[in-house]
Amino acid sequence: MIVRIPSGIRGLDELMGGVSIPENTVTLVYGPPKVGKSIFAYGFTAGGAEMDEPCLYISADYGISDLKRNMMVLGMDPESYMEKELLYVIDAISSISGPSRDEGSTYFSSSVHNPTDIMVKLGVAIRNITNRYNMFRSVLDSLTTLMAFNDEMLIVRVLTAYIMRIKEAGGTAMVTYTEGSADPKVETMLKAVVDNIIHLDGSELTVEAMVGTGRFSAPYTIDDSGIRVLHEG
Amino acid sequence: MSENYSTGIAGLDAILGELEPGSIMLLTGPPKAGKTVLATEFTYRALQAGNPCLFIAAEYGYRDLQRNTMAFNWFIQSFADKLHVIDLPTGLAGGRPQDSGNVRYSALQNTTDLMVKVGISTRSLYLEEGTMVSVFDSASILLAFNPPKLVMRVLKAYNDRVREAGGIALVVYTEGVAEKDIEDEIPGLFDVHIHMDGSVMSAVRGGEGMEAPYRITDQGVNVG
Repeated sequence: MIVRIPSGIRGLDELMGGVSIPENTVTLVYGPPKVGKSIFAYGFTAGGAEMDEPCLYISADYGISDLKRNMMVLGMDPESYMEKELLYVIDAISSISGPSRDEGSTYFSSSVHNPTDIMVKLGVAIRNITNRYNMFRSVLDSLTTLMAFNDEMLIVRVLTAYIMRIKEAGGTAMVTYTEGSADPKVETMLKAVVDNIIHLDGSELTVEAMVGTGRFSAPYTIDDSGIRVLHEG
Repeated sequence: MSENYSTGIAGLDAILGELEPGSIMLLTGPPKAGKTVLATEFTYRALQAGNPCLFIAAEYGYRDLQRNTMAFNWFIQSFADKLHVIDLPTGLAGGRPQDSGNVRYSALQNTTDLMVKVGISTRSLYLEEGTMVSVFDSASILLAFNPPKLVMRVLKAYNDRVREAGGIALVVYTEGVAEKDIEDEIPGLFDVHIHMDGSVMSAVRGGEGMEAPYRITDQGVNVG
Protein backbone atom coordinates (compact mmCIF):
# COMPACT_ATOMS: atom_id res chain seq x y z
CA MET A 1 0.00 0.00 0.00
CA ILE A 2 2.99 2.34 0.48
CA VAL A 3 4.15 3.86 -2.82
CA ARG A 4 7.88 4.52 -2.92
CA ILE A 5 10.05 6.57 -5.27
CA PRO A 6 13.74 6.23 -6.21
CA SER A 7 16.02 8.10 -3.81
CA GLY A 8 18.63 9.03 -6.41
CA ILE A 9 21.27 7.64 -4.03
CA ARG A 10 23.32 4.85 -5.59
CA GLY A 11 22.93 1.61 -3.67
CA LEU A 12 20.12 2.76 -1.38
CA ASP A 13 17.22 1.80 -3.64
CA GLU A 14 18.79 -1.59 -4.43
CA LEU A 15 19.19 -2.21 -0.70
CA MET A 16 15.49 -1.55 -0.20
CA GLY A 17 14.24 -3.65 -3.08
CA GLY A 18 14.25 -1.15 -5.96
CA VAL A 19 12.72 2.04 -4.60
CA SER A 20 13.13 3.59 -1.19
CA ILE A 21 11.56 6.92 -0.26
CA PRO A 22 7.82 6.76 0.57
CA GLU A 23 6.00 9.12 -1.80
CA ASN A 24 4.40 12.29 -0.38
CA THR A 25 6.35 12.08 2.89
CA VAL A 26 9.09 14.22 4.45
CA THR A 27 12.52 12.82 5.28
CA LEU A 28 14.94 14.39 7.75
CA VAL A 29 18.59 13.80 6.81
CA TYR A 30 20.79 14.68 9.77
CA GLY A 31 24.25 14.10 11.16
CA PRO A 32 27.44 15.95 12.16
CA PRO A 33 28.98 18.58 9.83
CA LYS A 34 30.62 17.42 6.56
CA VAL A 35 29.23 13.90 6.38
CA GLY A 36 27.40 14.41 3.05
CA LYS A 37 23.93 15.68 3.99
CA SER A 38 23.85 18.24 1.15
CA ILE A 39 25.39 15.69 -1.23
CA PHE A 40 22.54 13.34 -0.27
CA ALA A 41 20.08 16.12 -1.13
CA TYR A 42 21.78 16.77 -4.50
CA GLY A 43 21.43 13.06 -5.31
CA PHE A 44 17.72 13.17 -4.45
CA THR A 45 17.31 16.28 -6.64
CA ALA A 46 19.23 14.95 -9.66
CA GLY A 47 17.65 11.50 -9.33
CA GLY A 48 14.25 13.12 -9.81
CA ALA A 49 15.35 15.49 -12.59
CA GLU A 50 16.88 12.61 -14.58
CA MET A 51 13.43 11.03 -14.78
CA ASP A 52 11.67 14.34 -15.54
CA GLU A 53 10.41 14.85 -12.00
CA PRO A 54 11.07 18.46 -10.96
CA CYS A 55 12.63 19.53 -7.66
CA LEU A 56 11.99 22.71 -5.69
CA TYR A 57 15.21 23.43 -3.82
CA ILE A 58 15.30 25.89 -0.92
CA SER A 59 18.98 26.72 -0.60
CA ALA A 60 19.86 28.39 2.69
CA ASP A 61 23.47 27.19 2.93
CA TYR A 62 24.74 27.96 -0.59
CA GLY A 63 23.90 30.71 -3.05
CA ILE A 64 22.90 29.74 -6.56
CA SER A 65 26.47 29.84 -7.93
CA ASP A 66 27.84 27.59 -5.20
CA LEU A 67 24.84 25.29 -5.43
CA LYS A 68 25.37 24.85 -9.18
CA ARG A 69 29.12 24.33 -8.73
CA ASN A 70 28.60 21.76 -5.97
CA MET A 71 26.23 19.80 -8.20
CA MET A 72 28.44 20.10 -11.29
CA VAL A 73 31.42 18.69 -9.38
CA LEU A 74 29.31 15.55 -8.91
CA GLY A 75 28.60 15.30 -12.66
CA MET A 76 25.09 16.72 -12.39
CA ASP A 77 23.79 19.35 -14.81
CA PRO A 78 21.88 21.97 -12.80
CA GLU A 79 21.95 24.54 -15.68
CA SER A 80 20.07 22.22 -17.96
CA TYR A 81 17.70 21.11 -15.18
CA MET A 82 16.77 24.78 -14.62
CA GLU A 83 16.38 25.46 -18.35
CA LYS A 84 14.07 22.48 -18.68
CA GLU A 85 12.16 23.58 -15.55
CA LEU A 86 13.21 20.48 -13.67
CA LEU A 87 14.99 22.47 -10.96
CA TYR A 88 13.43 25.45 -9.18
CA VAL A 89 15.66 27.23 -6.67
CA ILE A 90 14.69 29.55 -3.83
CA ASP A 91 18.03 31.15 -3.03
CA ALA A 92 17.86 32.39 0.57
CA ILE A 93 21.51 33.36 0.97
CA SER A 94 22.87 35.28 -2.07
CA SER A 95 20.84 38.38 -1.18
CA ILE A 96 22.84 38.70 2.04
CA SER A 97 26.17 39.13 0.27
CA GLY A 98 25.17 41.32 -2.66
CA PRO A 99 22.45 42.65 -4.94
CA SER A 100 19.91 39.99 -5.81
CA ARG A 101 19.84 38.51 -9.27
CA ASP A 102 16.91 38.67 -11.61
CA GLU A 103 14.19 36.24 -10.75
CA GLY A 104 12.85 33.98 -13.45
CA SER A 105 10.43 31.09 -13.68
CA THR A 106 12.90 28.76 -11.94
CA TYR A 107 14.92 31.15 -9.79
CA PHE A 108 13.59 33.01 -6.75
CA SER A 109 15.59 35.24 -4.45
CA SER A 110 14.72 35.35 -0.77
CA SER A 111 16.51 35.73 2.54
CA VAL A 112 17.33 33.52 5.53
CA HIS A 113 16.39 36.58 7.62
CA ASN A 114 12.85 36.44 6.30
CA PRO A 115 11.17 33.03 6.61
CA THR A 116 7.79 34.61 5.75
CA ASP A 117 9.17 35.67 2.37
CA ILE A 118 10.62 32.18 1.84
CA MET A 119 7.13 30.74 2.43
CA VAL A 120 5.59 33.23 -0.04
CA LYS A 121 8.15 32.27 -2.71
CA LEU A 122 7.50 28.62 -1.88
CA GLY A 123 3.80 29.13 -2.61
CA VAL A 124 4.56 30.74 -5.99
CA ALA A 125 7.08 28.05 -6.96
CA ILE A 126 4.70 25.23 -5.96
CA ARG A 127 1.97 26.78 -8.15
CA ASN A 128 4.39 26.99 -11.10
CA ILE A 129 5.36 23.35 -10.62
CA THR A 130 1.92 21.87 -10.02
CA ASN A 131 0.59 23.66 -13.13
CA ARG A 132 2.84 21.38 -15.15
CA TYR A 133 3.54 18.30 -13.05
CA ASN A 134 1.61 15.91 -10.82
CA MET A 135 4.66 14.78 -8.88
CA PHE A 136 7.58 16.76 -7.58
CA ARG A 137 10.37 16.70 -5.04
CA SER A 138 11.52 19.38 -2.68
CA VAL A 139 14.64 19.97 -0.60
CA LEU A 140 15.19 22.34 2.32
CA ASP A 141 18.96 22.64 2.87
CA SER A 142 19.42 23.39 5.68
CA LEU A 143 17.29 23.96 8.76
CA THR A 144 20.50 24.66 10.67
CA THR A 145 21.17 27.87 8.75
CA LEU A 146 17.57 29.05 9.12
CA MET A 147 17.86 28.46 12.87
CA ALA A 148 21.10 30.40 13.05
CA PHE A 149 19.30 33.48 11.71
CA ASN A 150 15.94 33.08 13.51
CA ASP A 151 14.31 31.89 16.70
CA GLU A 152 14.57 28.08 16.69
CA MET A 153 10.89 27.49 17.56
CA LEU A 154 9.91 29.85 14.73
CA ILE A 155 11.76 27.51 12.37
CA VAL A 156 9.82 24.52 13.77
CA ARG A 157 6.65 26.42 12.84
CA VAL A 158 8.07 27.26 9.40
CA LEU A 159 9.01 23.60 8.93
CA THR A 160 5.48 22.52 9.88
CA ALA A 161 4.04 24.94 7.32
CA TYR A 162 6.59 23.78 4.69
CA ILE A 163 5.62 20.14 5.31
CA MET A 164 1.90 20.89 5.00
CA ARG A 165 2.42 22.87 1.78
CA ILE A 166 4.54 20.22 0.09
CA LYS A 167 2.27 17.37 1.13
CA GLU A 168 -0.96 19.11 0.14
CA ALA A 169 0.56 19.78 -3.30
CA GLY A 170 1.53 16.11 -3.68
CA GLY A 171 5.29 16.53 -3.27
CA THR A 172 7.95 14.45 -1.52
CA ALA A 173 10.46 16.40 0.58
CA MET A 174 13.87 16.10 2.20
CA VAL A 175 15.20 18.46 4.88
CA THR A 176 18.76 18.57 6.19
CA TYR A 177 19.90 19.45 9.69
CA THR A 178 23.27 19.45 11.49
CA GLU A 179 23.00 17.26 14.57
CA GLY A 180 23.46 19.10 17.85
CA SER A 181 23.21 22.58 16.35
CA ALA A 182 19.90 23.42 18.07
CA ASP A 183 18.46 23.00 21.55
CA PRO A 184 17.74 19.28 22.21
CA LYS A 185 14.03 20.13 22.73
CA VAL A 186 13.90 21.65 19.24
CA GLU A 187 15.77 18.68 17.76
CA THR A 188 13.18 16.32 19.30
CA MET A 189 10.39 18.44 17.83
CA LEU A 190 12.03 18.22 14.37
CA LYS A 191 12.15 14.45 14.59
CA ALA A 192 8.50 14.36 15.65
CA VAL A 193 7.13 16.41 12.73
CA VAL A 194 8.92 14.57 9.88
CA ASP A 195 7.86 11.14 8.60
CA ASN A 196 11.24 9.51 7.97
CA ILE A 197 14.66 9.97 9.59
CA ILE A 198 18.01 9.14 7.99
CA HIS A 199 21.24 9.61 9.95
CA LEU A 200 24.65 9.97 8.31
CA ASP A 201 27.82 9.74 10.42
CA GLY A 202 30.52 9.90 7.74
CA SER A 203 30.78 6.16 7.16
CA GLU A 204 27.42 4.65 8.03
CA LEU A 205 23.91 5.52 6.89
CA THR A 206 21.14 4.58 9.33
CA VAL A 207 17.46 4.65 8.46
CA GLU A 208 16.26 5.43 12.00
CA ALA A 209 12.62 5.61 11.01
CA MET A 210 10.78 5.23 7.74
CA VAL A 211 7.13 4.65 6.95
CA GLY A 212 6.65 0.89 6.53
CA THR A 213 10.30 -0.05 7.15
CA GLY A 214 12.27 -1.18 10.18
CA ARG A 215 15.49 0.45 11.33
CA PHE A 216 18.65 -0.57 9.46
CA SER A 217 22.20 0.61 8.76
CA ALA A 218 24.60 0.29 5.84
CA PRO A 219 28.08 1.68 5.17
CA TYR A 220 28.49 4.45 2.58
CA THR A 221 31.23 6.32 0.79
CA ILE A 222 31.37 9.61 -1.08
CA ASP A 223 33.07 9.56 -4.46
CA ASP A 224 33.12 11.94 -7.45
CA SER A 225 29.49 11.08 -8.30
CA GLY A 226 28.08 11.54 -4.81
CA ILE A 227 26.96 9.12 -2.12
CA ARG A 228 27.18 5.39 -2.69
CA VAL A 229 25.57 3.04 -0.20
CA LEU A 230 27.46 -0.24 0.03
CA HIS A 231 26.06 -3.64 0.74
CA GLU A 232 27.44 -7.09 1.09
CA GLY A 233 27.55 -9.52 -1.83
CA MET B 1 -20.36 5.51 28.32
CA SER B 2 -21.95 3.60 31.17
CA GLU B 3 -19.94 0.39 30.83
CA ASN B 4 -16.21 -0.05 31.20
CA TYR B 5 -14.17 0.23 28.02
CA SER B 6 -11.56 -2.06 26.43
CA THR B 7 -9.39 -0.75 23.60
CA GLY B 8 -9.69 -3.91 21.48
CA ILE B 9 -5.88 -4.01 21.11
CA ALA B 10 -5.24 -7.38 22.77
CA GLY B 11 -1.80 -6.88 24.31
CA LEU B 12 -2.62 -3.35 25.42
CA ASP B 13 -5.79 -4.42 27.22
CA ALA B 14 -3.72 -7.03 29.06
CA ILE B 15 -1.50 -4.36 30.66
CA LEU B 16 -4.20 -1.68 30.85
CA GLY B 17 -7.25 -3.54 32.12
CA GLU B 18 -10.74 -2.10 31.65
CA LEU B 19 -11.21 1.65 31.63
CA GLU B 20 -13.98 3.43 33.49
CA PRO B 21 -16.00 6.07 31.63
CA GLY B 22 -14.19 9.40 31.81
CA SER B 23 -10.70 7.83 31.79
CA ILE B 24 -8.14 10.13 30.21
CA MET B 25 -4.92 8.51 29.02
CA LEU B 26 -1.56 10.10 28.27
CA LEU B 27 0.67 8.37 25.70
CA THR B 28 4.32 9.49 25.79
CA GLY B 29 7.55 8.39 24.18
CA PRO B 30 10.39 9.65 21.99
CA PRO B 31 9.76 10.46 18.31
CA LYS B 32 9.06 7.47 16.01
CA ALA B 33 8.41 5.00 18.86
CA GLY B 34 5.03 4.09 17.32
CA LYS B 35 2.75 6.44 19.29
CA THR B 36 0.80 7.50 16.20
CA VAL B 37 0.36 3.88 15.09
CA LEU B 38 -1.10 3.05 18.52
CA ALA B 39 -3.32 6.15 18.44
CA THR B 40 -4.70 5.34 14.98
CA GLU B 41 -5.24 1.67 15.88
CA PHE B 42 -7.05 2.79 19.07
CA THR B 43 -9.27 5.01 16.88
CA TYR B 44 -9.99 2.28 14.34
CA ARG B 45 -10.81 -0.36 17.00
CA ALA B 46 -13.15 2.10 18.74
CA LEU B 47 -15.02 2.86 15.48
CA GLN B 48 -15.14 -0.84 14.62
CA ALA B 49 -16.78 -1.54 17.98
CA GLY B 50 -19.45 1.05 17.16
CA ASN B 51 -18.16 3.95 19.27
CA PRO B 52 -18.17 7.48 17.90
CA CYS B 53 -14.76 9.15 17.89
CA LEU B 54 -13.41 12.69 17.95
CA PHE B 55 -9.91 12.76 16.44
CA ILE B 56 -7.80 15.90 16.81
CA ALA B 57 -5.18 15.82 14.06
CA ALA B 58 -2.56 18.28 15.28
CA GLU B 59 0.77 17.01 14.00
CA TYR B 60 -0.56 15.92 10.59
CA GLY B 61 -3.74 16.64 8.68
CA TYR B 62 -6.86 14.61 7.90
CA ARG B 63 -5.34 13.41 4.60
CA ASP B 64 -2.36 11.92 6.42
CA LEU B 65 -4.68 10.38 9.00
CA GLN B 66 -6.55 8.61 6.21
CA ARG B 67 -3.29 7.47 4.64
CA ASN B 68 -1.76 6.34 7.95
CA THR B 69 -4.75 4.13 8.62
CA MET B 70 -4.98 2.82 5.05
CA ALA B 71 -1.38 1.60 5.25
CA PHE B 72 -2.66 -0.92 7.82
CA ASN B 73 -5.88 -1.65 5.88
CA TRP B 74 -7.92 0.18 8.51
CA PHE B 75 -10.54 2.01 6.48
CA ILE B 76 -11.78 4.75 8.78
CA GLN B 77 -13.71 6.34 5.87
CA SER B 78 -16.37 3.67 6.21
CA PHE B 79 -17.19 5.17 9.63
CA ALA B 80 -17.54 8.74 8.33
CA ASP B 81 -20.81 9.34 10.22
CA LYS B 82 -19.22 8.36 13.55
CA LEU B 83 -15.84 10.02 13.09
CA HIS B 84 -15.45 13.70 13.91
CA VAL B 85 -12.08 15.24 12.98
CA ILE B 86 -10.58 18.57 13.98
CA ASP B 87 -7.67 19.21 11.62
CA LEU B 88 -5.22 21.85 12.91
CA PRO B 89 -2.22 21.99 10.50
CA THR B 90 -3.78 21.75 7.02
CA GLY B 91 -4.61 25.48 7.05
CA LEU B 92 -0.83 26.12 7.10
CA ALA B 93 -0.67 24.82 3.51
CA GLY B 94 -1.91 28.24 2.36
CA GLY B 95 -5.36 27.33 1.08
CA ARG B 96 -8.55 27.80 3.04
CA PRO B 97 -9.79 24.30 3.68
CA GLN B 98 -13.58 24.18 4.05
CA ASP B 99 -15.28 22.16 6.76
CA SER B 100 -17.07 19.20 5.26
CA GLY B 101 -19.33 16.80 7.09
CA ASN B 102 -17.75 16.00 10.42
CA VAL B 103 -14.28 17.26 9.41
CA ARG B 104 -13.61 20.73 10.81
CA TYR B 105 -10.53 22.86 10.32
CA SER B 106 -8.91 24.94 13.01
CA ALA B 107 -5.35 26.19 13.60
CA LEU B 108 -2.40 25.21 15.78
CA GLN B 109 -2.05 28.80 17.04
CA ASN B 110 -5.76 29.32 17.74
CA THR B 111 -6.48 27.24 20.84
CA THR B 112 -9.67 29.20 21.61
CA ASP B 113 -11.18 28.11 18.30
CA LEU B 114 -9.93 24.57 18.92
CA MET B 115 -11.71 24.41 22.28
CA VAL B 116 -14.94 25.76 20.78
CA LYS B 117 -14.82 22.98 18.17
CA VAL B 118 -13.97 20.36 20.80
CA GLY B 119 -17.04 21.54 22.73
CA ILE B 120 -19.30 21.25 19.67
CA SER B 121 -18.09 17.74 18.85
CA THR B 122 -18.11 16.31 22.37
CA ARG B 123 -21.61 17.70 23.00
CA SER B 124 -23.07 16.42 19.74
CA LEU B 125 -21.46 12.98 20.11
CA TYR B 126 -22.59 12.74 23.72
CA LEU B 127 -26.17 13.79 22.88
CA GLU B 128 -26.44 11.49 19.86
CA GLU B 129 -24.66 8.45 21.17
CA GLY B 130 -24.25 8.85 24.94
CA THR B 131 -20.68 7.65 24.61
CA MET B 132 -17.48 8.63 22.81
CA VAL B 133 -13.75 8.16 22.52
CA SER B 134 -11.31 10.91 21.60
CA VAL B 135 -7.71 10.99 20.37
CA PHE B 136 -5.36 14.00 20.35
CA ASP B 137 -2.22 13.45 18.21
CA SER B 138 -0.21 15.20 19.34
CA ALA B 139 -0.45 17.75 22.13
CA SER B 140 3.32 18.37 22.04
CA ILE B 141 3.20 20.16 18.65
CA LEU B 142 1.05 22.85 20.31
CA LEU B 143 4.17 23.85 22.28
CA ALA B 144 5.84 25.07 19.07
CA PHE B 145 2.92 27.46 18.48
CA ASN B 146 1.76 28.50 21.97
CA PRO B 147 3.20 29.33 25.40
CA PRO B 148 3.53 26.23 27.66
CA LYS B 149 1.10 27.57 30.30
CA LEU B 150 -1.58 28.02 27.64
CA VAL B 151 -0.99 24.49 26.34
CA MET B 152 -1.45 23.16 29.90
CA ARG B 153 -4.77 25.01 30.18
CA VAL B 154 -5.91 23.62 26.81
CA LEU B 155 -5.09 20.07 27.95
CA LYS B 156 -6.99 20.58 31.22
CA ALA B 157 -10.02 21.97 29.35
CA TYR B 158 -9.91 19.15 26.78
CA ASN B 159 -9.75 16.51 29.52
CA ASP B 160 -12.70 18.15 31.32
CA ARG B 161 -14.79 18.10 28.14
CA VAL B 162 -14.15 14.40 27.56
CA ARG B 163 -14.85 13.57 31.22
CA GLU B 164 -18.13 15.52 31.10
CA ALA B 165 -19.16 13.40 28.11
CA GLY B 166 -18.19 10.21 29.96
CA GLY B 167 -15.71 9.50 27.17
CA ILE B 168 -12.34 7.77 26.95
CA ALA B 169 -9.44 9.87 25.63
CA LEU B 170 -5.90 9.18 24.46
CA VAL B 171 -3.56 12.17 24.29
CA VAL B 172 -0.23 11.69 22.50
CA TYR B 173 2.80 13.67 23.68
CA THR B 174 6.37 13.49 22.34
CA GLU B 175 8.63 13.58 25.39
CA GLY B 176 11.55 15.97 25.54
CA VAL B 177 10.08 18.98 23.71
CA ALA B 178 9.42 21.24 26.74
CA GLU B 179 11.15 22.32 29.95
CA LYS B 180 11.37 19.63 32.61
CA ASP B 181 8.99 21.35 35.06
CA ILE B 182 6.26 21.41 32.39
CA GLU B 183 6.82 17.79 31.42
CA ASP B 184 6.79 16.72 35.08
CA GLU B 185 3.42 18.41 35.54
CA ILE B 186 1.67 16.84 32.53
CA PRO B 187 1.10 13.25 33.78
CA GLY B 188 -0.77 14.67 36.80
CA LEU B 189 -3.57 15.78 34.44
CA PHE B 190 -4.26 12.20 33.39
CA ASP B 191 -5.71 9.00 34.89
CA VAL B 192 -3.50 6.60 32.97
CA HIS B 193 0.04 7.06 31.62
CA ILE B 194 1.14 4.81 28.76
CA HIS B 195 4.78 5.02 27.69
CA MET B 196 6.42 3.59 24.56
CA ASP B 197 10.23 3.63 24.37
CA GLY B 198 10.65 1.82 21.04
CA SER B 199 10.60 -1.70 22.49
CA VAL B 200 8.74 -1.71 25.84
CA MET B 201 5.25 -0.39 26.52
CA SER B 202 4.23 0.43 30.08
CA ALA B 203 0.90 1.50 31.54
CA VAL B 204 0.62 3.18 34.95
CA ARG B 205 -2.70 3.96 36.67
CA GLY B 206 -3.28 4.80 40.30
CA GLY B 207 0.37 4.21 41.10
CA GLU B 208 0.33 0.63 39.77
CA GLY B 209 2.16 -0.23 36.58
CA MET B 210 2.50 -3.10 34.13
CA GLU B 211 4.69 -3.42 31.09
CA ALA B 212 5.18 -5.62 28.05
CA PRO B 213 7.46 -5.68 25.00
CA TYR B 214 5.97 -4.46 21.72
CA ARG B 215 6.79 -4.06 18.07
CA ILE B 216 5.20 -2.35 15.11
CA THR B 217 4.20 -4.72 12.30
CA ASP B 218 2.16 -4.27 9.14
CA GLN B 219 -0.83 -5.35 11.27
CA GLY B 220 -0.41 -2.54 13.79
CA VAL B 221 1.04 -2.57 17.30
CA ASN B 222 1.85 -6.04 18.58
CA VAL B 223 2.07 -5.93 22.41
CA GLY B 224 3.26 -8.88 24.49
